[in-house]
Amino acid sequence: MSPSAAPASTSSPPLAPLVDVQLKYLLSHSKLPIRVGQIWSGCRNGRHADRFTLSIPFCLDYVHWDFVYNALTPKVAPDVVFGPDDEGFQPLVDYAENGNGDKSCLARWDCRDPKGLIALVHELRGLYIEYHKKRVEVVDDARVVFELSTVLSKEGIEVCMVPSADRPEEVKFAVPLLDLDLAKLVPGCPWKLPQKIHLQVIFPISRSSNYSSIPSAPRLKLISTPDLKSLFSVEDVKLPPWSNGMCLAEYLPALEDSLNNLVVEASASIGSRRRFIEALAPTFGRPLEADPIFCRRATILSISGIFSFLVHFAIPLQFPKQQPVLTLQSSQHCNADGTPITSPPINDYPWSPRWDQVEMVERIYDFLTDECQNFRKFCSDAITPQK
Amino acid sequence: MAIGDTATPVPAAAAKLSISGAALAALLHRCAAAAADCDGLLYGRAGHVPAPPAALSDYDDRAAAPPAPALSISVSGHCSLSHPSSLSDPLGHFHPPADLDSSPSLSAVGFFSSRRRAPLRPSMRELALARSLSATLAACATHPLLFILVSPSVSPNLSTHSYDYRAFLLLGDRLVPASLGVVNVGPGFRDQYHTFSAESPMPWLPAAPAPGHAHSIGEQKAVDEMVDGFGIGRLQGVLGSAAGQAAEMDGMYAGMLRKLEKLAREVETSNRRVLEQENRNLVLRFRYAGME
Repeated sequence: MSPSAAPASTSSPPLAPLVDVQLKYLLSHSKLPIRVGQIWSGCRNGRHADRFTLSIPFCLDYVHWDFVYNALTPKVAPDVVFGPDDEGFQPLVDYAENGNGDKSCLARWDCRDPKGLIALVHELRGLYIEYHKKRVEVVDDARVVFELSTVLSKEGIEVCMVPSADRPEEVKFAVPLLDLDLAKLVPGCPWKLPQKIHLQVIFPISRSSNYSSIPSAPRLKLISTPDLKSLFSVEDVKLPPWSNGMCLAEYLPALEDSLNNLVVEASASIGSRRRFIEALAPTFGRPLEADPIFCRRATILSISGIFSFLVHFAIPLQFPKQQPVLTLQSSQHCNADGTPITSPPINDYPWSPRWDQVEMVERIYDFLTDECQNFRKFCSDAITPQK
Repeated sequence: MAIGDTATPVPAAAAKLSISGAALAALLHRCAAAAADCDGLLYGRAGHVPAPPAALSDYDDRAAAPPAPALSISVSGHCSLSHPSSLSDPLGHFHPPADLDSSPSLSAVGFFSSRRRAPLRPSMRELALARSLSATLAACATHPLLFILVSPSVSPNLSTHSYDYRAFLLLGDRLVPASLGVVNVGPGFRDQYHTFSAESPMPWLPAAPAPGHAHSIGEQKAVDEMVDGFGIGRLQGVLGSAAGQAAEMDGMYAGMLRKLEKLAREVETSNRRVLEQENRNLVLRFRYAGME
């Protein structure tokens, strides 16, 4: 998921220049993974597009807001149409009531300032987070009120009500974990946006009337930003159990500790994967391709007699506990579509995480010496019916 | 059931919204003809419609409660500068456009906003404008503010023009969708006309001058407003004679028609000038936005 995803519709006319500059600035400078949806024109002649939908991250989900500019009257500040569920979110009315409208970037809108849109989006998102906090604060549930009072001060936390037609209402917390810059753990890290791990906590609301019953445990889930998946998979983390009567403020420190260890381990795993790839060279020759940053893949060219083939190594995050998955690809046999024949993934060859990298490579070499004969036969069988 | 005092919000169901077919057509034409988005004020009348008399029935055992008078808001026209956000600043504070009369708000019942191909939900600025306008308009003390949102759109090959619109009433702090009836001519709409009562005064007519005094210049001017060159003495003659000289009447009527014709020509020329100026402005705005 690239933050500057191309607009969905390619047939839309070009954006009006002044609007285009602001949108480009937003996409290239925002620390949030904002996405552009539809872009369309509001001019009678339809020659210039001047309105678009932005998907703005909020509480581990996206809200979709329509930004309405006017290409033909560029000096008029843009207007925003919020989602159908956000009728109660009225930022400009609040400004008018509190008399602090001059704080808003709309009060001194300059259509020639490329930073106009990014300021507006961030201002509205900040107000939207506050709006949802206020909505959750009035929930009539003793536990949620307590949780809010203890964790709401944590920086970057977002909360919202989860609307549902058939179930009782729930409150969702998105708690950012690990206050460290994950990109610093990876040398030469290519991530453009800051990566984060969040704990999603969903509390079912039980009205305060039934004090006697013990509130049920919340639903917990770890969620990471997409780029982080190449370093660390949150799906593999086993969450500590939630005991009865626990609260978030108790739960979080233990979770953060164990998560911290796992992340440090994951970044150490990069080093051992790198050494594995480096160990391939003396035995197999220099790899044709290798992932230099996360060291998750490598490809080598190998020859047995006159049969030459590629071996793709997919190195798992848990390396060396888990062995690399090998895929063989013939450079001499193609199927009917003209694509090279590849073997099914192989991950049942002899392996021990206690071997050092050189021994791992030698054992794989030994295994492949036999396996390539099977693969050669597999390839010949695959193309025989065509003859 | 008594009529609630003005402070209690009127439920949307109780308010009957209507717009005359011609006013709606003019409004939609304005929205579609504008080069970009536009907004403006809506004028009309608001009042409590007396409930229709209970249908005569042979059975008088059902003692029906007298139905409560319903609030009715009917839109009869609009006023717009064909320009987006002409009524408010970027934060949605109402400020009347300088060109409009200084007291446009006296008879306004609400406002409209047109956004091409945009969702039919009030935007953040429209909501703020509704709140601010409602606080400004004198009329809104007695009825909720009316807001009509129009979204004209055209199919890519220009073969289909659609005009989606939705009416809202400002109830509490929300704009609540309400149904808007279109009033046309015909027996089906008789109710609408039964409730009509003229508000304009009788046209001014000069009184007979006291003996020895001539008509003042002001009085002559007032007559000229209606008919050019029709002497005040002749008008006096028409009024005075019980026989009602038909020829004089005809002459006065023809004079009125001539006056109307002259006004129509003037409007035509000035409209052409306005259009030329608008096109010049459009070119300048194009240049400003770097879209030449």
